[in-house]
Formats: sequence, structure tokens, C-alpha cells
Amino acid sequence: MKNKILDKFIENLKKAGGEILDEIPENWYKTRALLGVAENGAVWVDEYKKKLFLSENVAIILDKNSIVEDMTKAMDYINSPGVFISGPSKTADVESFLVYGAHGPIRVGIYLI
Amino acid sequence: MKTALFVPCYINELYPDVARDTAILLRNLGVNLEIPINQTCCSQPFLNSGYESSLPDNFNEIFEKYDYIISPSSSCTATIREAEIKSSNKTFELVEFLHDILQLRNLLKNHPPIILHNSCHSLRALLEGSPSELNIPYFNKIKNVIGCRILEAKRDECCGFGGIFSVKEGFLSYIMGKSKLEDLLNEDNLKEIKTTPIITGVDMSCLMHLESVAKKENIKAKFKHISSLLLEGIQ
Amino acid sequence: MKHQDLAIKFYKEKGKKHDKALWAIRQKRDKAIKGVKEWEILRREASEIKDYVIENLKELIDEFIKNAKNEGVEVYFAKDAKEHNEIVLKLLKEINAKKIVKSKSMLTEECSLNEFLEKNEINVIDTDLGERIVQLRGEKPSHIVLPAIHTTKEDVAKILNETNTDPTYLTRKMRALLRKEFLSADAGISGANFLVANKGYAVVCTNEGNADLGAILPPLHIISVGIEKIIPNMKDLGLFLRMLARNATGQAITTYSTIFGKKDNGKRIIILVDNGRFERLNTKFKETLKCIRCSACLTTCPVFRRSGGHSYRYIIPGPIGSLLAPLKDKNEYNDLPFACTLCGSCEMVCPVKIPFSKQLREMRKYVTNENIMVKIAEKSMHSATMFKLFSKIIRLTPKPILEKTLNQWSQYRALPAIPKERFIK
Repeated sequence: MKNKILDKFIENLKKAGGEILDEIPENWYKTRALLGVAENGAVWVDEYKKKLFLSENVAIILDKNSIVEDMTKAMDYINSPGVFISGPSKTADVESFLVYGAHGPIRVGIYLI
Repeated sequence: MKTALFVPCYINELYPDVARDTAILLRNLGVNLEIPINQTCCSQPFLNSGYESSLPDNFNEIFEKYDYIISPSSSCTATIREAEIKSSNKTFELVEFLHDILQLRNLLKNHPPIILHNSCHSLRALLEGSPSELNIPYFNKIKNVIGCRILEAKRDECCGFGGIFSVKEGFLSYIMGKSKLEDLLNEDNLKEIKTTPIITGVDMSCLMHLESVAKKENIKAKFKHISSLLLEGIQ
Repeated sequence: MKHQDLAIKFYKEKGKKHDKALWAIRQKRDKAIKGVKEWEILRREASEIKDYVIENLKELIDEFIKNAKNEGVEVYFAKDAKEHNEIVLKLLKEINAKKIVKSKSMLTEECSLNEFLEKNEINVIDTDLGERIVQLRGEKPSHIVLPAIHTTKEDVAKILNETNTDPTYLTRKMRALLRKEFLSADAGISGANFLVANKGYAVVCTNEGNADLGAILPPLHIISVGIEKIIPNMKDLGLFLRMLARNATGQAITTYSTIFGKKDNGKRIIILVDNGRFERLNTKFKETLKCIRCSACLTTCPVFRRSGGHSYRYIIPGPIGSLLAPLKDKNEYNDLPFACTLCGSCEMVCPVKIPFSKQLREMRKYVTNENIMVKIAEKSMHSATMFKLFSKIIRLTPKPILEKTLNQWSQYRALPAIPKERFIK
């Protein structure tokens, strides 16, 4: 069951343009997510810092066991401000072409522990 | 079972054959059908143009005594349903009646492929089929009743008739009709058709609009109301 | 010019491409919602939550204000656009702001905030790439989620004085230009997608991250939001976040869904705006207050796809705009509820089940003046004898006169032939 949720999380993270990191590259901005959401590949980060948005590359550390099925379930654990992030910043405003790195990070990787 | 035929006013004026075919079809299927001669209009032209109308009350007075009221038009049927009068839930679009009440299937089983235009009111107001917008399993009552190979458009969008729309926004109405025809007669559909394509549907209003666009565009196709098609099949 | 003329103009220029692009998004949306097996149940729940909200709006606003203040956020209430704009100006003047970065907010568009601030010598930079494109073109957004859907990559290259039309190149170029603006702005303004009453949080969803940069970099962040964006609690937020992006663009969720409370390095202020909303609660159009601005009704509308957003001339176009615009100006927008075939597609995609067909018919009534001739015609149709007489007159009317009367039809195709005999004689 847990594995199925993890697989779904990874699949949806990739759909959102995100990636799974085997190791955290140097000079990537590092932060930690408290929660992952399988249905959309989003992670919940409550450390709302400038660098999370200004950095070109962001690595987010996530505990494999902290992935929930969907947003409704995620809300059971959320009790403070913060941000759900699903993949890199993106836009399709130039003639509907999808481009990563609109204003925020161009790459967002999840490092699973 | 006391059953009445409600003839939409535009069908009475412009397509008397469709009214006749509907009546003969129902009678051939054993329905004891009455045709009240004092009937007029469901009020749709007024309501859709921004005016009040008490025509549904008038409709109710004429039809209330029947068990079933059958109409060869999904949009007039929808108007009566939405009016929430006593007759509302007894009023059925022809195919809806054949499918849900008489429970008939496969009336044209061996017919060569036919192209079906699913009209908006049939699909989205009466749910005679599953609209692509909803997350519900696919079904189509018209297909079930016909039973032969049915070809549809790739997009189940509006043909652009829209009653008052067709005379307020003539250009868009025409453009939408054109793209609907192109879609109904798409390459994949035409591959399966040997002779002049037949386009059918439950609403003569959409077919009237599509036919006039086809004429203008020199597109070869026959437009046949579902009642005429089914009648040919059972005769 | 009215919708029918603007539609012709737009369609001939860009209609086919526009239609194709939006239909592709509609298909992505269909695929996404079909991936959620309980989708139709979610729609029912979302609709019920919104019904509850509009029935209890006053109480929910009070609850929100109390909790937001506890959280450390200042809250203002503006009764109309004018008051809203003045509050914003006052707040900006207090810190002597010269330049603000703004992310997408339909509310500030509704209040014409940009024009107001520019008049008061405050430079407003729209930061959503689509909105920046239309701002540089001197236009308004043509779609509430895809503001520049009516433009091409050539159009974008032109406003940037570039010859390279590669979308990645152009996006990077705009990113670099706007990054400078973010870093030097005095304040950020954004809208909000949801306000959570029992927490006092404001929630903003974007794909680009521009709302976040505008919220986190400058010392002042102002959130301008319509009061109907309130929802009761976090559980409801979870539900709406499942639906919003899927229904809008087919994404499972937007890249960023930020829950804002107190600002760490400065001040966050929320301005709740009424601007006719409370009044609308007492009208037949109160259900339009359920709208979450997902834009699915625009994208699916077969008329919108072909006529483009600007043909509606109101900041919110498409089916929902055709309900909102006439409430602002009945005469100016009296054509909009008729720019519609009543096909019902908007109603089917609506995540909160606004009964569009009924509302649009009601809106047609609202913009239509009583007409004595129509009244006579309606009355005469109560009688089959009168109808028959009417039918005779039509049959005796020479074809050219009929064609002239129905010229919008006959201009583009032939009228059907009228048979000699009726069915019921």
C-alpha cells in the first residue's frame, strides 16, 4: 500500500516537471518538506523563505513515510501557513508552450529519505 | 396508457413530415396516440429571448390528462421539464420514450453506418447520452435504440444553432455549424461510409441549421430526423 | 462595437487557432478530472460548501476577520471599488511606495486599480507573464487563467523587441526583466483564491511563483480579494485545491498553493472587497457568487473559443462574465447573455454547479425591455386559431421580406423552404 502511494507520488511529481534526486547537488537550495501528496506530486513546505523562490535549483528533503493519498488527507496535518510545491515554476503564457522556470526555480528535486 | 403527441411549433410549420413520421412510428409500435389539435408552443422562443411566458401553463391545460406526452424534440422537451409544471415529468423526447418507457433496442440493427449529431439539449439537459464534460460512464440512448453502427463527431460541442443565437450572431452560428459538419464528416467517419452520408439526430432544429450550412458550403449529406429513419427501419 | 461584430473580427484573424488551443486545454481538463473517480461527488460537495458560504457570508467574514487579526494580519473592508483603491493608495503612500509588483487578481482588474495607481504616479508592474504581455501590449487579459491566450509568440517577441520567437527564450527574457522589478519593488499586491474563515489564512495559487516573490521580497504585501472567496475551513480548502487546477488547465495542482498568515519580514494586509456582492445576494443572480474563477466555463464555451475574450469587453469574459458584466452595466453589456447558444457545457464543467442555463436565461430577461408586440405575440400563441393565422401570414409574406427580417441568418445561409401545409392543420 505504502509503495503504491510512493509510486503514485513519483509519477505525479514527474508529470509536474519535478525530479527525484539520488543525492543533493552542491549549491542547490535545500529545504525540508513535512508532507508529500501522491495525487499531485506536491510537497508541503512550511519554511517560507526567499531562497525557495529565488534559487534556480531547489532540493526538498521528504520522508517516504510522510506521503498521503490526496489533498483532503493532507489537510489533516496542516495547521500553519506554508506552501504546497509541485515541480518547478512554470508557465505556458507564450503561445501555450510549456516552459519551466517562469519566475521561480527551473529545477525542483525531491530527495527521499 | 393515454399518450399524446406534442408537435413542436417549428416542426408543425416547417417539417410536417417529421411530425407525421413520429406519429406513424409510435402507432406502428403499438402506442395509442392522440394528437390534441389545440396545442401551440412550449414557450422556448420567448423564454430564450428574454421575455416572460405563461405558455407552459397553456401546455399543461392541454396535456395534463395524459400519462405520457411525447415530443420529437429534446429542446422543447427540456423546456417543459424545466418549467416544473404538472406535465413536466410526463413529457418525453421521442427516443427517451422508446428507450426508457417502451425499452426498445436495435430497431435499425442491419442499417449501414449512420452519423449521429448529439444535440446539446439531448446530451446536457435530458442526459440521453454521457456528455464529455462529466466523469460518468459512456452511454448513449439514441445509439441503443438505433442499434446499427453509429458514427459521432469527435467533439460533442454545440452545432451553433441556439435558436435566437442563430439570428443574433449569424456569423458565429454559421462558423460553428461549419465546424460541426466538418467534425461529423471527419475522415475516420467517412472511411466507413459507402454512399451519401446520412446525418441524423433528435432535434430537427439543429439538422435544419446544419443542412442550410451544408447547402451553402456544397457539402453532400442527407439530413434525416431520427423518427423518419426509425420508421423506414421498422416498415 | 457589440459582441457579434467583435466576434467576426477576432475569428477571421485568430479564431481557429484560439479555438484549437482552448479545446486542447478542455481535453486536458477532461483527462485530469476523469483521473479522479469521485469527481462528480466532489462537485456536489463543492457546490454545497459554496451554497453554505453564500447563505452565511456575513458570519464567515466576521469569523475570518477575527482569526486573521489574531494571526497578525491587518484586515480592511472596502464597500466598493473606489474605497478599495483609496485604501491601497493610502497604504502605499504611508511607505512612500513608487513601484509595486502585482500578481494576478481579477478583483484589482474589477476595481481598475492599475489605472488608479498610475494616475497617482505609482508604477504598477504586472508579474504574471501572461498579464505582463497584455500590459505591455496596452490590453486587458482575454481569459482569467490564460490572460494572453489571444496572442502569438510573434506578438510576444514584438513587444520585447526580439527577433527570436522561441518560447523558452522569450520566457527567460521576461523572467530576467521581471526579476529586477521584483527586487526593487516597494510593495507586492496579489489576489487570493480562497480565504479560510476558521484560520484567517489567505490562499494563493500560481504556476509561476510570481505571487510568492511579490509576497516575500518587498516589505509590504497587500491581498485584495472579493468577499465571496471565503470558505469555512481547511478541509474545504483541501477539496477546492483538488478541483481548481484540474478543472482549469488539467494540472493536478498548481505549482504553488501558498497559505498566507502573518508576514515574517514586514506587513501583510488583506482588503476584503464587497463592490456589489452583498447586494447581489438579494437578487436572482446570487448563485454567481459561488464562482471560484477556475475559468473552465470560458475554455469550454464554443462561442468564447471562437470569439475571444475581448469580444465580451468586460474583465471577466465568457459565460460567467456574461452574468457578471450586465450587473455592472445593463445597457453596455446587454448583448452578452445572448452571445450564447444555451448549450449547457459551462454548467457541466462548473465545479460548484452554477446553473448557467437558467441564470443566462434570467439575465436575458434582465437586459431585455418589455415589448408590447412580443407580449401580443405571446398571448396570441395561447390559441391554436391565432397561431394558425400567424402561420398563414408568414406563408403569405414574400421571401425577400422574411430574409430581411432574419438577415443574420440569411446573410450566411438560405432560409429553409416553408411547406404548403402544416401537420396539425
